[in-house]
Amino acid sequence: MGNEIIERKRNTIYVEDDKVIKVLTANIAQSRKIDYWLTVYDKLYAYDNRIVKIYDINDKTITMEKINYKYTLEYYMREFDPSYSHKKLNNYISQYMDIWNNFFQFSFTHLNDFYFFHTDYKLANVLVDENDNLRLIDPDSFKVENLFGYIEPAMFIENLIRLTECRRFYKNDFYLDIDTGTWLPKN
Amino acid sequence: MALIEGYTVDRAFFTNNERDTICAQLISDEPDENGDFKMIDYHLDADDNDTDYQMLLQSYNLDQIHEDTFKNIRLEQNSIKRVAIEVAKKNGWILSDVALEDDVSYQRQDEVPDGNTKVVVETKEIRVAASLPEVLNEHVFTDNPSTEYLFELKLKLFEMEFIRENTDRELKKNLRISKTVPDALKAAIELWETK
Repeated sequence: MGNEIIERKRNTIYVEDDKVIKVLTANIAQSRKIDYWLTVYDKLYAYDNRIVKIYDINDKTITMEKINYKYTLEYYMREFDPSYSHKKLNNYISQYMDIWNNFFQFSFTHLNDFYFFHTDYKLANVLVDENDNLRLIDPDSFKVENLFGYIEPAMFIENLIRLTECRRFYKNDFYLDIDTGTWLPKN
Repeated sequence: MALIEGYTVDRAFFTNNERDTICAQLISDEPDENGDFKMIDYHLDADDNDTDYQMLLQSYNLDQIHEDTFKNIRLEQNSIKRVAIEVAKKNGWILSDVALEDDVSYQRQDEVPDGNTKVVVETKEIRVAASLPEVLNEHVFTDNPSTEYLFELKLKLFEMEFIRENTDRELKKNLRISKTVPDALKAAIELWETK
């Protein structure tokens, strides 16, 4: 199964020509609620199609669209971009914030008593496609929460800061500390 | 100087469309023997030459009066809606699922916009459950089904115990992928019959 196989600690990913199959090592928690979850996910996809499209899901397997992408935001932040411009980076930042905001707007507009949020909204889970649009993967990290505190906004804020600090790379007076993922002055 | 000695202005609002009459609600500075603070409605003319009006403006500015007026209108509207809903419920015209100030979107109507705030969320009127004929005509047997109604219906169905606890993925999938309200109900009935 799959042209490319990526084995990870908690899942294995099979990449085919037109779809990606993610097989989890453990069953999805609360499997009886899968269809409820996917109903909400599909509605969010209709609201913001930058989240990856899910074709099917069962207890251990998620079948989703294959996204042709240039790099992840994590990779972009770490590597030198010869075609860098503030406008390009600002476009990424703007979309990164917009996707996060849409979780809120969607929850307010369509869900009365709970939030539907990606609980692992890190830069490595955000792909940049060939048209410079962001696409959000790792859909099984979407959770239904009824308390704002559970959605961990700190991760979003931290990654937003890291992304905005990326521009320092191009001023040539800062370097990226790989261990901490933060930009530090050269002197 | 206070309008009445021993009382402070709690809120003040215009009482007519011409905005030339004000009701100042005064609250006593000290509680009575039961520990309650006494409230007095004090009516006055909004006239620059009126002594009471001049005294009111010493402790309460015009912006606050306009803001209180806005809030007071909202309060009165809520009261009227609540009475109307109670009457409708008692007569069986509507079902009991009613959201007033508990509804998040509804609460936003009570926010007073200022120059720094941009209202980006569409405000909703009170949500009253539709009557049975309305449900049948507008949501079930219709050529123009509301996707929003279908979505809410699916969520409600998935929350029902006989569906939530059902382990038949195929039947649940039928409910999830249903495109119309009758299809969703058909899928739910199948789940009910296999419970």
